[in-house]
Amino acid sequence: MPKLEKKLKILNRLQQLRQKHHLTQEDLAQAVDVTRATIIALEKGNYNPSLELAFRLAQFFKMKIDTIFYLQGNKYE
Amino acid sequence: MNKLIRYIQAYLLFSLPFIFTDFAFSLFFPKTELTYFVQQIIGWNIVPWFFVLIVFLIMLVVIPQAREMTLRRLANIKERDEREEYITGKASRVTYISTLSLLILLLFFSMFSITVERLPKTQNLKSPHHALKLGFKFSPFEDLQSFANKSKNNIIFGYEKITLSKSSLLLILLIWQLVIFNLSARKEQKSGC
Repeated sequence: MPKLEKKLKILNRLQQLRQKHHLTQEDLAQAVDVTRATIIALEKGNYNPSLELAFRLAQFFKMKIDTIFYLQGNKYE
Repeated sequence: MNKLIRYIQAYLLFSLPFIFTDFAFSLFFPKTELTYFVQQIIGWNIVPWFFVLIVFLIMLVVIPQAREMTLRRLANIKERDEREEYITGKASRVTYISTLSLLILLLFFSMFSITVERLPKTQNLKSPHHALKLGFKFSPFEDLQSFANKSKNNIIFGYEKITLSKSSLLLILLIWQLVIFNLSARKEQKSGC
């Protein structure tokens, strides 16, 4: 079996999506019921969200999770 | 229960200025009839305040809700969303392990003694000049004899300090931490985490 890397770097397109929808970090935070600090951490890539929060973000932007979150080296990078 | 805890918190907090004023009156103001009168009026609150404080401190140990409501603020625990919960979890882990190591170190220091002594000089040059003594002592209670002497008086009830020794206290804290952590971890696992 192929061995996976020990730590996977997950990136996201949250900042682009948020700006595309003309939302502030506070707006997005309120929409998905988290603090603004969490949105900042997510956009900077300092924090990986739980599956639940990832689904909530995907639901909010009406997108699939893997178009918002992707692994380093994938097509959206 | 939450309401009761809130009432107790408010009572303890808002009565605090009266307690301090009373102490200030007894310490800094000259004893006149007026100051005595004012002190008496303010001081009626001291006995119930101390009684409620003792009850509240016991509640903090026994009732998790009381702990959550009071110590969350004191410990500056913020858990508004999952990221903050994650941070709290990480910080708790670090705190738990570091406290455990500190308790073990303190327990070691309270039980073991190390002494380096200078030995009396002898004619024999080859004889050792210094001696290293290592000791071990664990007594569950602190200086029971002095406590017993005090109790010979006509005191019906007295409370000065916990009679447990430092070692016992540290051991209790160690066991407390280990048991509480493991029990709460098991509870979390059972709840579906």
